[in-house]
Parts: sequence; C-alpha cells; structure tokens
Amino acid sequence: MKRTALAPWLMLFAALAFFTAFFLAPFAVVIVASLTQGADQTFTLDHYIRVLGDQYHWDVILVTFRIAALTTLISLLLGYPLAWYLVRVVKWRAWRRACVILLVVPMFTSNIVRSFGWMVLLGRKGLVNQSLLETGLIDTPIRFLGTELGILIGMVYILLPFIVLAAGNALAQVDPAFEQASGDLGASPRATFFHVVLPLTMPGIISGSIMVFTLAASAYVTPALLSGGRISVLSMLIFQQYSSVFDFNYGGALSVVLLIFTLVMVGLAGRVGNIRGNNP
Amino acid sequence: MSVLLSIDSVCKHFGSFQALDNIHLDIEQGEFIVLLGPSGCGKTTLLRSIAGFMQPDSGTIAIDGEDVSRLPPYRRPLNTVFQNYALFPHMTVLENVAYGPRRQGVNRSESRLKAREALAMVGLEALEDRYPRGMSGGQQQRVALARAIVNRPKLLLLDEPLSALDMKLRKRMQLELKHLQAKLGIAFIFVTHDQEEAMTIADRIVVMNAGRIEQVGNSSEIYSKPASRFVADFIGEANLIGYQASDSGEIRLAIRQEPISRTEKNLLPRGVAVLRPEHVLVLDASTPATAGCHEIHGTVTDVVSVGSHTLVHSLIDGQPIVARTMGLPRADLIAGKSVRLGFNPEHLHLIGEPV
Repeated sequence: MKRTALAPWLMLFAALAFFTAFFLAPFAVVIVASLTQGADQTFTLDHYIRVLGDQYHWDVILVTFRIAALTTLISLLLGYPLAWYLVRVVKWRAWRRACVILLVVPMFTSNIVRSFGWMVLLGRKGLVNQSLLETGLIDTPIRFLGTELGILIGMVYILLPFIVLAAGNALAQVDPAFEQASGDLGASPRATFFHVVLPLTMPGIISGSIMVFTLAASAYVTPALLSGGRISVLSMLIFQQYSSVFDFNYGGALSVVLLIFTLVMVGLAGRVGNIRGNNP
Repeated sequence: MSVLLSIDSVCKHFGSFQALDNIHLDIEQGEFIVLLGPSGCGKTTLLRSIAGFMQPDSGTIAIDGEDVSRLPPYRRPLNTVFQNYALFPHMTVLENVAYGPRRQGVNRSESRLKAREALAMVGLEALEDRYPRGMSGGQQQRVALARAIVNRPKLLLLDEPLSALDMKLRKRMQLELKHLQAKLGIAFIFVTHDQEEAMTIADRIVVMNAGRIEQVGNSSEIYSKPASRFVADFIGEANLIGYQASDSGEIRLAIRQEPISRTEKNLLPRGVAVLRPEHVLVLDASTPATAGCHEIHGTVTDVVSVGSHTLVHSLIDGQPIVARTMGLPRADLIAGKSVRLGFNPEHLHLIGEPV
C-alpha cells in the first residue's frame, strides 16, 4: 500500500528534479547574468539598456520576428490545404500514410544537413536558379542566399510539418455531420468552411502556429547558414556573445529579450484564438 | 393535396450491396411519413439521398416538380434533424438556430428574431445564450428541431431523432413532434426502426426491407393487411401459419385438418396466413366454441403475464401459436398441459407467396 502511495510522488520528484536541474537552474543563471556585472556580481540594468537603447538591436528584433511571423503565415497557408488534402481528399490509406511519412522523415535529419542542402539548391548556380533560367522565367539568377527570402524558404521547409500535423489532427476531429448540417441549412461549401470548419479547427491552427512561431523566432542554424552573414537574427547575436565574445551578461540580456518578445507574441495569438466566431 | 416529393426509380449500390432497389414514393404536402425498417434496410440511405448528402446511382428525386437529384444539399428546399443533432459546438443556442437564416442572406437582427421565434416553438427561449455542450439530450434535441424549422422548409427530414432519449422523454417528444408538425403544416419524413414509434406518429408508414419498399399505408392498414411475410412479422406480433389452396378454392391451414371458409379469389396456391395473437381465443374447457369460431388443440409451452395482458404460447402440430388474453392468466394454463384455442377465419389475413 505504502509503496503505491509513494510511487506518484517519486515520479513527480524525478520530473521536478530533472526540470529544475536542466531547465530552471540554467534559466536562473542566464537571468542572473543578464542583471549583474563583473566578478562581484553587482546588480545592473546596463545590459538591457545597451540592448534596447541601440537602434541596431531593434532592427535585428524586427527582422527576427518578421521572419518568424512570415514563416508562420506561409506555413499556415501551405500547410492547412495540405492537411485538408491528407485528411479529407485522400481516400487511399496507403497513400495517406506515405504522405505522412514523407512529411515526417526529414525531421529525423539534422537541420544543419537540410539547411546546407538549401544552400546548394538556392545558390547562384543552384538547381532552383538553373531551372528558372532554363524555363525562361528569369534572365538573371535570383539572389536567394543572404536574403530574407532565402531564410524564409529554408524555415518554411523545416517547420511546415508542425502545422500540417497540428491542423490535420484538428481537421480529423471535426465531425462531418457539422459540415452536413451547415450545408443542409443553406451554407455553400465556402461559407461552411469559414463559419464551421475553420472555427472548429482554430485550436489546432493556434497550437501549430505557436509551435512554428517560437521555433522560427529562436532558430539559429537555418538563418545562420542561409543568411550568408548578411542578415542577423537575435539567436545569431546571442550565439556570438556566448561563443566568440564570451560576454555572458550581455548574451543573457539578449536571450531574455528574445524570450519576452516571443512570450508576448504567443500571448497575443492566444488572445486572438479565444475570440469566438460569433456571427449571427 | 398535391405531391410535394416524388421519388422515381431510385437505386443505390455500395459495392455489391444494394442499399436502394428501385424506390418509388410520392409524398404529399403536410404529410407525416415514417420510413420504418430494420437497420441496413436502406431507410437512412433514402433519407440522405433526399437531403443530398448522397447521390443515387439512378432515378430522380423531385420536390414540387423540380428535379433536385443533382443539386447539392444547400440548394434543396428542405432541412434535416440529425441523429446526433450535429449542433455547432462553437456557437450558442441562438447562434445555432440563427445560422440558417443568416446563410440565406437574412440580416443579423431579423435572423435573431426568427431564431427566437423558432426557439419559442420548442419551448427553449430561456436557454438561448447557453452552449450545446452543457445541455441535456432532450434540450439538444429541441435546439436541433428549432434550427431545422427556422427556415420554414417545405420538407423536414428527421433521422432517428429520438433514438438517444430515454423512454419517457421519447414518448413525450413523439406527441410534441406530431403537434408541431400539425401546427407548421410542413411535411415530415421521419426515419425509425421502432414500429411502435412509427405507428404513434405517422400519417403513412413506409415499411422498408433489403433496399425495397415492402408496403406503404397508414398504421391500421399495415397492421391488419400486411403485404408480405416480412411486414406481418416486423409490425407487432404475428402468428404466421402456412396455408395451401386447392384448385377448387379450398384453403387449408398447417394447423387444421378441415378447410377454412374464405372468399378470396385469385389466391396463390401457397403462402402464409397472418393471425394476430389478440385474435386467438383461449377457450374454457367447459364452454363450446361459438359459431364461426374454428377450434384447435395444442399444448401450452409458456405463459407470460405482464399484468395488463397475458401471452399464452402453445404448440399445435409443431407450429407455435401465441394467444393474447386480457388480464392475468387463468389458473388452468400450465406449461405442458393441453389447451383449446379458437379463432375466427375472418381475422386471418392471407399472403400468397410465389413458389
């Protein structure tokens, strides 16, 4: 009896200990570092003032969240129809399974390998430019590397599966009877989509979007490789501070800024998601 | 009365399974029609074909003379009450009911007005701000009903709408539906597998089996003059007794030596005679059978009393016969003992069956 009563607490303790050791403690270290200065660790807000007082940082923050927002938006616009296709259109189970495998398998490969792949594809003489030139759609190669467009292509490619899986899961849970009821009451398929299916899949869309947005805002490898050193996002500045400059205080302040901005954006998205589609 | 819905030669296959086999049916304005049959008989397929959720393989469905067979559901002048109600979970009761008029292009305030009116008809105006999630089955049922009538369709389809309710509520809703239908003057097509429910509410019952219509008629026709062995067996309880007719017109039952006196013409040589349990008399040992009453002898196998009436099961030459008597069983009816039964041949309904 006693053992069984104790077991949940032990398991909880293990989880809490892990969480504390590997998440809370490092996080505390970062926060403390961002608020202190020197070996004697005197309290200061200098690092934050340095981060937020400099226009350059605001530009980087803007680029970071512009890329994250556009990645989320494009992933949604591409991913929702793809999820719709997989859940609603595909009748043949084996084909659906094959599609899901194709979607998920790249996630087993390292981001670095996949981002290098895009560097090859998107280069001046890469497959993309070659194809566009040969089909006569363009006359001079498009510059992808070192532009936000290039980073966006890589990010959308890497993060798309999250949206497809989240939206697909939400779509699969919508009872077809709701759509039939909507059609029965005189709603066209288009009206049914906007008034019934979309609101009912909103929780899935929001959770998928939050996942993609946070991953995109904090992504390092893909923007670092595809930026060609011309574009900086916050994670790259943080990496520099920790790995080359060794200024953990300033790097910590940058990290906390990234975290707070991301939380605010996610909070706003959650607020939007709570507004229900009440239209009668 | 004019024909509202006309179903002509409708067929539907699912693979090798024939769900609808050449269905013909005309329904008039303001009629209460019940599609009755066991599960898999095609009644729901027929309803879904009328609603437009399913395309028949062949045949036409016309409403008010206009062929709607190829129209999508949202272009058909009818509404449906779904089996599990299918209320939109992200909308309040009022929003659910106002959805129909809104999609028909009625403005917001007028839609709400219409929705309140429909909710008042089902007695739910007080709950308009609730979400369906927290409501009882009976309340959800009423919301679904209000949502389906708010557009004032010409035809309302109801797909086993009461099957999820408990017995008492179900009986009450049956009568309420009947009153609502009379008040609105809309034709109802109601699908059920419950023959008692069908007989309670229908103007006309359409009995279906294996994708075919077995019989169409009002409840007394269906009960007293079943068109087939299936209908006789499905509607109420029935003793089905084989008969043979000779060329000279003599009709003999499997349970009796002497021919019975009937005046049928053109009767098929073989078939079944339907005898309802309430028409089988359990005769007293002392009293002789009255005039016109045929007597048969058998052995009691079971006596089942439900208080208001008693069912006496017996065997006559291997043929089971059930008799229904009013009240509690007589003391001398004991399993294993012999019993004298009687019936009036007038109560027999003969169904010829091709060999």
